Amino acid sequence: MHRQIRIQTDDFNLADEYQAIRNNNHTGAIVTFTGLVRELENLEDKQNNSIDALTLQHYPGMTEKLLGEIIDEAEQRWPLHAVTVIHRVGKLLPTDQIVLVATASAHRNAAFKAAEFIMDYLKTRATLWKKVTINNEDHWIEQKESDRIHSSRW
Amino acid sequence: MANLANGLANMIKLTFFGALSDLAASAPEEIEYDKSINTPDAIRQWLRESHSDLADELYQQYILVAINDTLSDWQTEFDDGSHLVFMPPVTGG
Repeated sequence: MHRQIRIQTDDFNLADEYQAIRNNNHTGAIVTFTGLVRELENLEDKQNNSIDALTLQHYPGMTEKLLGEIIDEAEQRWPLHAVTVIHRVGKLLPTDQIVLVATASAHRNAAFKAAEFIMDYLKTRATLWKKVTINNEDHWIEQKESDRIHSSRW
Repeated sequence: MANLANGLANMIKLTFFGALSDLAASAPEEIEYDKSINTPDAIRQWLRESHSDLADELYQQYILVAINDTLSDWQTEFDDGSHLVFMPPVTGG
């Protein structure tokens, strides 16, 4: 299986990443998921805050290792031809791309399921932390109960 | 032996992520290795004196610790030269 894991400050190009995993004659389905920076963020005490920026921190070396383990697990569950995971770090602005997960398989079911599984696991296991800046104040985001529930259903 | 303390030996490295990194802004990145401080639990006890806000957060049950890039528990003994990483629950994606 073709796999690619990248943690980077630079943006990524969805079309390029899609083309990079399109070249397998046995592939009948490619699913891509892109996560973006939302302008409105809920904090514990206030709803719908307009953010100035989102900053992502990660644990170099560990993040790549854990993403590799998540992909290993996806590969054991579904017949995959390719998996690409790109996660950006550093300071991002509303509408910026944060994360890409792309999966390729013979049929759509495996590609859809694997992409969802990888995102759910990434959100609760990969060593990345987000903080938002609102009116020049930084707030670290807390892990959501809904993310833990999504991750535990697999 | 003095030259061994040149950042290469008799020292351990500390890294804090997420909200812990703000609380640890003035905490040391390296501390002298001492047999009496050879578990992550002993580190957080030691930090209570100088960095009580950081230490209080380290006692939250959701905080994870890694020793030399391996998830560990608070009573695991580490060696001189180890790298300890303290992490709140992750929030990527």
